[in-house]
Amino acid sequence: MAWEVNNVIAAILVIGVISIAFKDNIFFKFVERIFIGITLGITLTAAYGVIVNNGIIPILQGNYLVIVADIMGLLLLSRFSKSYSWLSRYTLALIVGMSLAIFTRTAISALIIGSIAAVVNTPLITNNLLGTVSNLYAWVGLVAGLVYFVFTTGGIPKQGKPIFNIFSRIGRYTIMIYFGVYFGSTVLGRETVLLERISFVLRTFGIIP
Amino acid sequence: MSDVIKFIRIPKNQSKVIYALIIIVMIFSYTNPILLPLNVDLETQAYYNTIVDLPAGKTILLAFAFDSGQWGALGGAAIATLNLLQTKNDKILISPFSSVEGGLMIQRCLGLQKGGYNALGKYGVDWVILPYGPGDETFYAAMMQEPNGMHTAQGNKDYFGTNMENLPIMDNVHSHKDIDLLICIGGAGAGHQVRQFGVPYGIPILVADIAVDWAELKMFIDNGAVKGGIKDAVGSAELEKLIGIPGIATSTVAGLSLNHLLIIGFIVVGNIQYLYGRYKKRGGK
Repeated sequence: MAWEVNNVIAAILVIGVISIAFKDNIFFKFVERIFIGITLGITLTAAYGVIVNNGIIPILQGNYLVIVADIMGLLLLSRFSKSYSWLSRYTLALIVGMSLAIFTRTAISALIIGSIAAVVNTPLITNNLLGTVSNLYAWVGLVAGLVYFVFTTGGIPKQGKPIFNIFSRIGRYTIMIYFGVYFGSTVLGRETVLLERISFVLRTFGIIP
Repeated sequence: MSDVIKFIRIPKNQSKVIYALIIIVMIFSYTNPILLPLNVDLETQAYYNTIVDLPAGKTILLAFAFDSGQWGALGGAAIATLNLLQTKNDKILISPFSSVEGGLMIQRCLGLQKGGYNALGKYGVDWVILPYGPGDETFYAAMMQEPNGMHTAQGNKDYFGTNMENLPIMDNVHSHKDIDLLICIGGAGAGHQVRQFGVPYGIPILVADIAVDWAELKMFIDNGAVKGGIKDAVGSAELEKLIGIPGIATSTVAGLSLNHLLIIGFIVVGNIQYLYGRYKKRGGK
């Protein structure tokens, strides 16, 4: 793998991308444009394949209903005309409406009922201490997190409701912990991406086997 | 004490110094690797067990829904999953789903799996690559539709433009009824898969995802909607360990440990600076 021409070119481009961390430079701009060009090329090729396979070939095979879909798709291009841009709204409305219907038909079951059922079915006492603490935290975190978003008892702080205030505060900390975990995971993920590229560069130039 | 604080303070070009340190530590971690013991998480074990326990002859929909930017995190999981599937006698439908670069990732992983590009068996009989389809969830819903969504949603062609009529593997694959397991490499938190495959049709789901999406994926694993999961490069390395074929994830993780120590160091330094600043503001000397 070391010093293969393809890899050497890729490794030089990787160094070009990393160079932006230190200063904006012409090498980075060059690499950036190559990246955008390639990405656009791949996207256009993929889109072309989809249009031909799903929008043209079926018509040639006698499935004339596809013409309706093609016309709806073409209407999107009317956005380029000031006079006829309103036509694109019909297609957009159809896309948004259909997508929303498909997204939400199972969302309640997948996101809400499933999660609540999982917590309700979680036993408070398990055969090890760590498991018990973890499950207890899941219960308290769920209740406290929900209480934090209850605004009907006098706002925040919920005046005259000491129990609510305690749970609301625990809920706030629970949410903060969640965001902390989320941020930590983000750092981990981004680091992994850079690490893999650094190892690629080192391998390409024969620094590591 | 104040001298120490001044020493660790990096007032100018702070971000550049941090970037430089991270890159130096990354290079050092590869030239002097520290291999910490790798414990297999329950989620990774469940991912492995679900595939191993699946009876022979079943149909698996294997989605490569990730792009080149996620290669470092998920490339290892994708190759390890292919290596594991080689040991079984199932039918594999490989799909890029709605990832434009998914097709390229499939080609790359197939080339890097143990035994090379055709190690999964005969193309069109034992495995097939399906084409890209735009629309995310609407595309998945169309694929699963009866009577023949797996053909019509994909224009009746495979990734290379071959008619599905000429691919024997597709003779018995028509809709959700014919899919026994969905494995998704790169799932954006698994919400799409749970909504379109798991809840409506009861298809078992496995997901390998980047660390950013882990919080959402973990929720689905805990509530049983997803059977098992791979978390970023660390989970990928665990899967490589279970299969016994170390790959790119194992080498990535070797560098990750040292960098985490550096990040923890930054957090400690940042907190000391913050607390010292607050102390000074209150009139401390």
